[in-house]
Parts: sequence; C-alpha cells; structure tokens
Amino acid sequence: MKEGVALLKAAQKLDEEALTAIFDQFAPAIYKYTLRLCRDSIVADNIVGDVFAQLLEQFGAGKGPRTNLRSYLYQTAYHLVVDRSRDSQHTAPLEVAMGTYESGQFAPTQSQIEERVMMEALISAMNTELTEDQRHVIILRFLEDFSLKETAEIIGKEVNNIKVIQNRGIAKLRKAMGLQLEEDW
Amino acid sequence: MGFDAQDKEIVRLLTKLKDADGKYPPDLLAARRQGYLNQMGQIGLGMSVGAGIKNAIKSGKAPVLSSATSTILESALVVAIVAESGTVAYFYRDKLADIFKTITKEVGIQEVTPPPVHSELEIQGVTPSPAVTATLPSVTLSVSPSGIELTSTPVPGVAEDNNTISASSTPAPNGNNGHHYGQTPKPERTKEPRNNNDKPPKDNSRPTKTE
Repeated sequence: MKEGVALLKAAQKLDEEALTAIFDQFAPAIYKYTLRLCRDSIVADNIVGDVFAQLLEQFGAGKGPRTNLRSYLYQTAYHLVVDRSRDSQHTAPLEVAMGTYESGQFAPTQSQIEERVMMEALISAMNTELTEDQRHVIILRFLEDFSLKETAEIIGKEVNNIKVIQNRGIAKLRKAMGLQLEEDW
Repeated sequence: MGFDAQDKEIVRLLTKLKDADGKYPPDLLAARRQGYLNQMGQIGLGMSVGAGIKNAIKSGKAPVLSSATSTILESALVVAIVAESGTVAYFYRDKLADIFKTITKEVGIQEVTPPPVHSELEIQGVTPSPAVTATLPSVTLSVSPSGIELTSTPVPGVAEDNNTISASSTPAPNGNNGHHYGQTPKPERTKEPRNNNDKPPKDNSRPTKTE
C-alpha cells in the first residue's frame, strides 16, 4: 500500500517512471474490466487509452486521485463505458472476454464439462437477466475484487444500495441458472 | 457477508470467471503504451516550460540575455510603444484637442445673471416707483393787494437769477384773498389726442333757442 501511495505521489509530480509503472500495472486490468462491460475489444482498447489520457491530464493540471488510484481508474473506465453505451447500443456477447477459456483444454473430464456448462449458463444469465447496475456491481465485486465501499465509490451510489443491487443480482443469477440447468438437463 | 449455499455456488462460479483470461492483445497494448508515453512527454514538456516561467517569476530575475539581444529588444519595444501611442493619438485627436483646450484655457470672469426676484408689488402687478426722485421747482402763487406775485424756489444746482415774477393786478377789496370772478386762474387744459375714441358723452340737453 505504501508502495502504491509513493507511486501515486511520484506520478502527481509527473515522474515518467511512476507514470509508466502505473500504466503497466493497471492497463491490462482496466482492459479486461472494460471488455467485460462493453464486450468489444476495440472499444475496450480505446477506453483504456482514454482512461490513461485523462489521468495524465489530471496530473498535469495538479488534480487527479489522492488516495485510491485503482478505484479512480476503474471509476473513469466505468463512466466512459456508460457514456459510450449511451451513444451506441452496440452489444457483443460476454464470451468475447472469455474467448480463451476453452483454450488448452482437450479431453475434458466429466466435472470439467459440468463446470463448463455452469459457466456458460452463468455468462448467459449475466448477459440477459441482469440489469446494467447489477452486472456492474457483480463484475466489480466478484471479478475485480473491489470492496463494497470501493464499488460504491466507482458507481457513485451508497454502500447499502450496492448491497441491495448485489443481492438482487445474485438472486437473479441463481434463479436463471437453476431454470437453465433444469432445461438443459 | 453471508451467502446461503446456493449463493455461495454462484459466487464461486463468478470468482472462477474472474480467472478467465481476457488478455490485452500484445499489439494493441504496445501501441497504446507508445501513445501514452508520447502524451506523457508532451505534458512533461509543457510542465517543464511552465515550471521555468514560474521559477523566473518567483525569483524575480529575468533570464540572462546578451547585451545585443537586450538592446534590440529594447529598441523594438520603444518603436512599438511609439507607434501604438501615435496611432491612438491619431484616432482620438479630436478628444485630445478638446482636453488640451480645457487645460490651457484661462480663468475668466463669468457674468452671472441673478435670478429675477419677485417682490410682492410685482406679483400684484404694481410696478414700484423709481428710487430716484427729482426735485422740481415749486411755484408759489401769492396774491397781494398790490398784485400777484409768483415765487419759485430755485432748484439746487441750477442757477437762476430772477426767481420772482411780479405781475400787477387790481387790488383786492377788503384784503380778501378769495377767488373772485375773473381772478381765478384758468386750469390748464390738456389737449386730447385726435385718435381718442373715448368721446365724452353727448349732452342731450340742447341749448334752448333764445328767441
């Protein structure tokens, strides 16, 4: 954590080494998160570029994050995704983000097949059953490991509200997956 | 946060989904990183220039220039100031002339007309008499048994040799100084102007013919 704070302070002074380290550390994660939200690799790449361009502009203006750089970057990415989704209702399947999930797997076992079916059902439910808020909260909480407080900061809602959204999302996923599994089997 | 068994299964699947590999394509990542570094260089250059100016202002020292450069800069500055002031003076020459006139104008005596004072007489439509009074010579007519004697008082400042006019008349009987027939002085008759339309009322009583 101290290292993160020192990195942030150095970046505020426009230290090139610190700024490069921040990009190398967070760009892949931001890309993955953005890809999960917008489901388009090109759009995700552009959003990564915008996120770090805004970060540089903020640092150049003497502004920018003071404490939690990671939350700040995810928050910026989230807002950019929301803005773009308003402009164009382009949607791609979430499987784009999971494209390599099957790679390297040959001769799967029974348990692996079962799990694969479960994962496909989960992805499908996330794409079809959840609202935008529920999907964002689920992604931030369980795929990006943000705390409730951080998630609330990124999305811009109260912690209690995030809890409610999360529980409703999980309930929806459980219900949808149960139904799908019943249909499959 | 507590989840029930079914929810825990969902959470477990979600965390497994986290490990699913959505890697940044290396070519895209490299291009993006290069763009980021370029932008960082631009901002750093701008910041360094800004910091240099800030330091110069803080220290109060201008950057050191050669004497020839400073001379050229000074002369260029003077020429620019002169040209600008000349242009401004040309455009506002009328206003400048007015200002110059008002500055150089001497202080003169201004004739101040007092506001008219309305006295009570004027308000009532009566003009006051002039303050200057003229002393007229008074004429005294005295009738004595020896005759009528006119005595006039001399006007001050006017030399008159003979102030007394003497006229002889018939002596008054019994010393009575009353007006007798033929002795009363005739009143001076004022002559009316010809255009006077105010004719006296006609006397309807015709003189009776005397037969």
